[in-house]
Amino acid sequence: MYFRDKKKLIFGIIITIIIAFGIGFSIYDEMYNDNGPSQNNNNNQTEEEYLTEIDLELYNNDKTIRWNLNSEKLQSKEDGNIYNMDLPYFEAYQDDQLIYTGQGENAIYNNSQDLMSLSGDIEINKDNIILETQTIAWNQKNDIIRGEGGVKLTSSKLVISSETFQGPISLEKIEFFGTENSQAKVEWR
Amino acid sequence: MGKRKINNILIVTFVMILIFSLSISAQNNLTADKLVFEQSEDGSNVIEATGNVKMTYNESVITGDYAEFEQANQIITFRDNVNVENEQRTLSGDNLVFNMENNNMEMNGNVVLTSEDILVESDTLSYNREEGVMNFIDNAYIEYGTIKANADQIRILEEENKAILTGNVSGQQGENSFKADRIEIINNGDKVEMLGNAQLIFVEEQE
Repeated sequence: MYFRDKKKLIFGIIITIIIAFGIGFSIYDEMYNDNGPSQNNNNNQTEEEYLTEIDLELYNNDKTIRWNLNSEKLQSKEDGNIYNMDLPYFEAYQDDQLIYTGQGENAIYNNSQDLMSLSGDIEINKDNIILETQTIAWNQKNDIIRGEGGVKLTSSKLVISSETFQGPISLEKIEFFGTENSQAKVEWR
Repeated sequence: MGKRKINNILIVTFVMILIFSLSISAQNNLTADKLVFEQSEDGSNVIEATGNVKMTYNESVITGDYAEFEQANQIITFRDNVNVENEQRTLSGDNLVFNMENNNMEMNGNVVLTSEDILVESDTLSYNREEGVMNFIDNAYIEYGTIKANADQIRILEEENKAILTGNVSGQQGENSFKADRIEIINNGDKVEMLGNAQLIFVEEQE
């Protein structure tokens, strides 16, 4: 018989073991994919943990103003083109001097469009004023920052409210716009 | 009086004070199509307002095409088509500078004051709202009661219901003309006092 040959018997066993391992790994791989989500979660968690350690640094056109953004959770999407941040906190520096700080509930930075968008109960503190709004968009192409969804500026002496605002990223000058039904308003305190 | 009753009275009093203070604070505001807030290097704030500017300040409503508020000195300047209205009168002019700290107003360019019983025009107006004194300066003209007159300066004393005309005063009361250095018109022309080189020219009645 063929297997009476000892060498051939060992060769046959090895081939059998290799085939068995191959089939086994294939089945394991199938099972791995089926039970993927729990395994993926672990992988994502690793990725998110890694990403939370990253702060975003954004500059205006002439590199005189820098935004340092950090968040509780930062996710990178589309090969690093889009960054999604939860509970973002940012600091703006002009020539390395802190000019304002701010925070919101969510931020999305679109790298290809040079667009930073923040949303949800945004509050910016600059000198002795507080600027509150619902959404902010900073277009890095023209360095204009725009806010929508109701805007409120509070200083020690007055309160300004409007529907929208816009201004340079330095926020040295802020323009408030009303609508036909709701004009921009200053109230003295 | 029970403790509960005292508590209720205190709560009602507190609520009334709160409502009153809220209504007082709500009186002073400014609305516009666009506001520009700018911080200068010294930390003082400037606000520019454009388009349908309307300021409500105590009992007055001020409107104009443009306004600029300087927080450091509490001065607000209105430009173009300026109107100041309250229950008694309307004041209009090209420009208005309103000092919110001392309640003074300076208006210039086609200044016109109109109310039920008086019309005053001039190039410039200085108005001390606290004292209720209005000074109309340069090319001043008044129609008050039966009197129409020109003068270098017309001073209106609101509480005394008096108009004092000074410098090259000339005018008419009915058909009669007059000239003087100074004229005081009291209580809607019921009493007129003329001082300094006063001349009265009576028109003779024709038979």
